[in-house]
Amino acid sequence: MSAGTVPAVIEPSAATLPTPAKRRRTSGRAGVDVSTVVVVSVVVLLLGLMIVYPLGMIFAQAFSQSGWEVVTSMFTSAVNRGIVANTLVLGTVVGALGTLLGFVLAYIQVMVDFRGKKIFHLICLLPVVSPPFAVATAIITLLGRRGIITYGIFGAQTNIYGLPGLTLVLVLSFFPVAYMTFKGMLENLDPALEEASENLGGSKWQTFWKVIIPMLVPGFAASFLLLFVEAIADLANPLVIGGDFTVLASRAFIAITGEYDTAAGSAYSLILLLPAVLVFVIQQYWVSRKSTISVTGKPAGQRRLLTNPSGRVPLLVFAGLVGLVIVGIYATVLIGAFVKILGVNNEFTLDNFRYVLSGIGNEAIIDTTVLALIATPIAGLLGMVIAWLVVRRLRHGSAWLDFLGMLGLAVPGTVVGIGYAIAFNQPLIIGNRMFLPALGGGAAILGGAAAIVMVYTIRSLPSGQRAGIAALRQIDPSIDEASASLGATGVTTFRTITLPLIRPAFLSGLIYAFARSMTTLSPIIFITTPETRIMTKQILAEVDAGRFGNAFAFCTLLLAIVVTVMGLLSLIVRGNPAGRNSVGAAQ
Amino acid sequence: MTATDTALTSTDATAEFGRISLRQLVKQFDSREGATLAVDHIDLDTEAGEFVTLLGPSGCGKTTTLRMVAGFETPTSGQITLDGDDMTRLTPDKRPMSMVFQSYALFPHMSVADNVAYGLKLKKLPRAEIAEQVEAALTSMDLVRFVNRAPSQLSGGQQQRVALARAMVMRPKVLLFDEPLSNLDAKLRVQMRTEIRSLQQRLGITALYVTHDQDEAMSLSDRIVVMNHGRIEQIGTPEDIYRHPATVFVADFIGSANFLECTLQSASDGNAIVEVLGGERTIPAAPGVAAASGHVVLVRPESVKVSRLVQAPAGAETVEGNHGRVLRSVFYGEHVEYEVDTAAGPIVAIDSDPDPSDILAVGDVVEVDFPRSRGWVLPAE
Repeated sequence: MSAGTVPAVIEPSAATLPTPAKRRRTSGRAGVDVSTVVVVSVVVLLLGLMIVYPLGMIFAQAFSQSGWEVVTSMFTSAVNRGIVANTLVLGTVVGALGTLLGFVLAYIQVMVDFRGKKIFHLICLLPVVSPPFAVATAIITLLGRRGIITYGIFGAQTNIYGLPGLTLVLVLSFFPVAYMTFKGMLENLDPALEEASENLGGSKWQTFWKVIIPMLVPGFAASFLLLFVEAIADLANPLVIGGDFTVLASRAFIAITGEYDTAAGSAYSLILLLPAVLVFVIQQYWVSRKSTISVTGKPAGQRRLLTNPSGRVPLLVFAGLVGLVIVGIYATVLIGAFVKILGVNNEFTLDNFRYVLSGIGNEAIIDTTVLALIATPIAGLLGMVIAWLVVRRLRHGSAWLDFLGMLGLAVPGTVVGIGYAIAFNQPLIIGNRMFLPALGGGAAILGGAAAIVMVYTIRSLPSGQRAGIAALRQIDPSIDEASASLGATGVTTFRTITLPLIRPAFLSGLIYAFARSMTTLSPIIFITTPETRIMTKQILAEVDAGRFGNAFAFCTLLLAIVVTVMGLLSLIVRGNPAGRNSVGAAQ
Repeated sequence: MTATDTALTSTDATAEFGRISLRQLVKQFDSREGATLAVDHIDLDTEAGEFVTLLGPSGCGKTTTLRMVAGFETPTSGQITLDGDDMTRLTPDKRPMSMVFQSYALFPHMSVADNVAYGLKLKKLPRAEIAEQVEAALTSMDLVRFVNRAPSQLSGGQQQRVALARAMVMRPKVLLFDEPLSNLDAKLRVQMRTEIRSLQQRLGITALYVTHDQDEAMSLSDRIVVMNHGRIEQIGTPEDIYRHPATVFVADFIGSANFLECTLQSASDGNAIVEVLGGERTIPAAPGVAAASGHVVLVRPESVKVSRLVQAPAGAETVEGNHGRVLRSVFYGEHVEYEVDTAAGPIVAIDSDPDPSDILAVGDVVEVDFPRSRGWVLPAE
């Protein structure tokens, strides 16, 4: 990405606004004062340490002699070409199917008349908070070689491992992203447009194809690209259900943990990093600005829902089936946690929990929760500060700061993890002076906990940042100016005005940060240490050993912790009565 | 000078501060399409306690100028001083000025009282003093019953009073207004502008006010600054601006105007001899008309007298000399408006409260005239 491209592609949306509004918006950034300069420096320093430096180490390793040999072998070696092809195929298939599924479900949710919309919505969002192995292990239990459904009911010995199983699992895991995108867009689609089309003689069907779909094109592009990145970046599922279908992420994992070859690991990371970041940049800075629908969070007018049975019945049947599959998966996890071997010996037992809650498992639960709880407020606050700097304070470089903050999401977790392993497992020594002790790995200070908190922070930060930017853009810049005009410095304004106003966004940022930290695996797997155990890695160990019951118990506990903390967080943050009047609360 | 000036001196205005000076102020916005000069080398000085309005069409640079004074925009070049202190590089929070915004900009998460107390709390005043001043400000704006309400529970007019109280309670040296009334309905706008004016005079605070509404500018201001394309077209009292505009733009922007084609014979001593409407007349003229190449006579519609010719000269050209033909006749209730085709171009005339039998019809042949003192000779554009 060159310096000129980012502001250049942002411009079109601004150009559509009338001139005074445009000037008003950009000039909402008041003159830069000292406190802002200090905050910017601190933020840039933190981001530099947490993401730029590890990425730099990956580049250094990948461009070393042995690293570069691996990079070039991506084109020369048939095996490596196959791995790259596998990765691209997986990304494309998951992107397309996930987008389609998300769209259909969102369309049903918004446009079709049925009861139980809230329940259906929650079911569609369930996969967001799920631990990484829950879906894969449940699918193996249900549809694997000895699957409860495939073998138990139909007597078929199917092979779910490989591309089909991987696709199924990834689509089910990631479609909520597409669902949320389309739900937001459809809700904000002015019903008057549909009515105008019908009034001009268009049937429901014609209106759908000629009015609704064209307006959603940016949504299709955006969610395809997002799902593409998520799919190629995923490590947990290829390890569990990928079988012989090797992708870049799992290849890099093997290079680091099996072959102890950091140069090769970096080389695979680089190849994985490039399409991921490229696609991410296209999605964030180009596709999302092409949208003709502004998602304001406020539903636009009263919509006449689809009641015609010829359309409604098949759609609802489909929605019911998808809902059933999702519920079935989570039921499998829950039931699996409480029986000996699900599908083989369905006798009730608490052994799984006894195993999980003793010794290593117990340590992992405590360590993971504590570290996630430390990282969550840091990520939430940092995300909001960046959002505020980007939207309100910075005249120049706001696009760059935004991009830096979003890197934690754009860079695949595997790459982040390998970067951390290279960057922080040894102390940083320049000349004879130690600038930084080892933060990760067995010999690190605090048992490697610092590196894990940093990974959690950098991975969770973008969601808070995005939510914060969206919320801030809805707040009239003159509210900030009023505060300045009454004598408040930039930082005072942030503390007394901005933060209270974006409280709901802050809350959702926090919740997401926590859920993401608790359930993240791919970066963590490279930097856990014997002193600091992480649940997701323990789950992987149980799955690898074939002890699915223990894995299910872990998943159940993980879900319970996530849901409990999310509930508590929303109680704490919503508890403040001032929140009721804030901008986002109306959404 | 004007009635408003006497009103000002008769108040208990004690302010000896609040003199703003703008020196060669420039603001250039750079974009990919190139640079635009939003404010183009303007100079302005206000008196202490004066109410000055920046008036002009949208995009004329008035809001940018105000925002530079407030500190929300950094001037490209030039200087802003307040009572001799340089403000140019000061951040907004360091300037002793308070702004009232078009969108009110009330903090939605704070009650009315907290909104008004906000700036005082930042000044770290003692609690009791804050409470006292907030109470006083709310009382003076008749807002006491809303103390604990959230801004969203107030009407637009009430919100704007809170915004005004919030700015006023800071005892600023200068009050800045950015089109504060444009979100209110017409009736409330008139009421609020009376209130703003009397409050400003009572407190004797200098006010810099931005609007595109000429009624607002006329009724509020001691002086009006008419801006266009980033430059100042004219600075003057409302009467000055209306009666003796410096340019055709000002004349056209303020009120409605007829520009009669004319030929200049000679000009001296603020008067010009011109040939207009088929006769030679001596009419007051803008300074510097002698140097201009083309000229027009400005006559406001209410100054134009039209009377029906009882005997239209048979066969003669009806649109000639000071004769014209009625093109349009619209009855508005309190006045009738005509458009008359004349040799000097179409002229709009307003007849207030005409006798029903005197109302002209389309096609009537009329004589057009105006009192000598109501004309104003201007350089044509």
